[in-house]
Amino acid sequence: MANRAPVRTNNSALIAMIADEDTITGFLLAGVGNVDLRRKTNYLIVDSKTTVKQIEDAFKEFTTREDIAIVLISQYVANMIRFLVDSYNKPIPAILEIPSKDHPYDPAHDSVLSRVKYLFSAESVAGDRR
Amino acid sequence: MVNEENSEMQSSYNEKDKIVLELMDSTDSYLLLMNSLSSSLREGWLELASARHSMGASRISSALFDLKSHSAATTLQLNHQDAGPKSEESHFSLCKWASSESPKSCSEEAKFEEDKLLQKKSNSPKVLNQDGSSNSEVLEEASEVPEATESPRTVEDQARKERLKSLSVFGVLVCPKLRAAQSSFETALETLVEVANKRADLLNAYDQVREKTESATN
Repeated sequence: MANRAPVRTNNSALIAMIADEDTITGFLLAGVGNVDLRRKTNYLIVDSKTTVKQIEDAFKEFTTREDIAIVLISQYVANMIRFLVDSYNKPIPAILEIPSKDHPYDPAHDSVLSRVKYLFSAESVAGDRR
Repeated sequence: MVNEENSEMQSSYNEKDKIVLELMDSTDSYLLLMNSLSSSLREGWLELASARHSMGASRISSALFDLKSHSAATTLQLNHQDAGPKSEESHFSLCKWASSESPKSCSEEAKFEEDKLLQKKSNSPKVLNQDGSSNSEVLEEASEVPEATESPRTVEDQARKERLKSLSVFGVLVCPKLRAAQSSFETALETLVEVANKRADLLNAYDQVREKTESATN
């Protein structure tokens, strides 16, 4: 509750980001940056010094905040906390895995697409058994 | 009897096929949107790199980010829709460049408004030249115009102000490439909202297929 944004309308929600510096800079230019009264930001810049613990904490914080509707996460960062991303199954905030400058988007790693892939492989196994 | 059973089976197969097709269709659209997102982001990164090259690395850096308390100018609107008997689907829409003073008046179609305003601006001098002699009419028109165009103009002004505000973090005189990067990331953001909506459709179809599969195996 403490980390809520100061001014929000009823249905208005934020976009949170966990990504590299350039991606964050770009989206801040697009106006999604928010800093609350306690100086908490809605983004985490991931660089070589960022620890997995920090990423985990940011992910947990953004997915539990009620004023966030979408969490953008670079796919290579999501790969570092894959267990958390894959086990997350709430519709809001929606987790979107996005490409980063040095790591192109790989559909095979996307948590939503791997769920679909698993469904079909499980179905085909069940079909074979029948 | 056999015919009835056959038609029942056929209808259940059709229903299942329909849901699976919906899932496949959503997956395809999701992948296409991700592809388009990747290209807008690539464009944005390239323009940002060009801006950094011309302005210098120290002028475009995370150290310059505004850490004072402020609200986001671009936010999301959540609309809840009933997607079926059990599930409720959420639809996201982008609310661009709402000012912190009046967060309600967002400009979703800022570019469209900008175009409209440009048209009006190009038309207005002609009117003044033609009616230059009749002062009273000109005065009347001039007083009416701001009232009629108040809302688009304020919305457009507000969008422009907010755009400049987010650019001003990196200085007053910024490289045009940085403005281009801003525009590319705005496009990427629009695509992202579409991706989020498609993802919701995909998950909805996924749940339905899973339910059908589970009921069929039980």
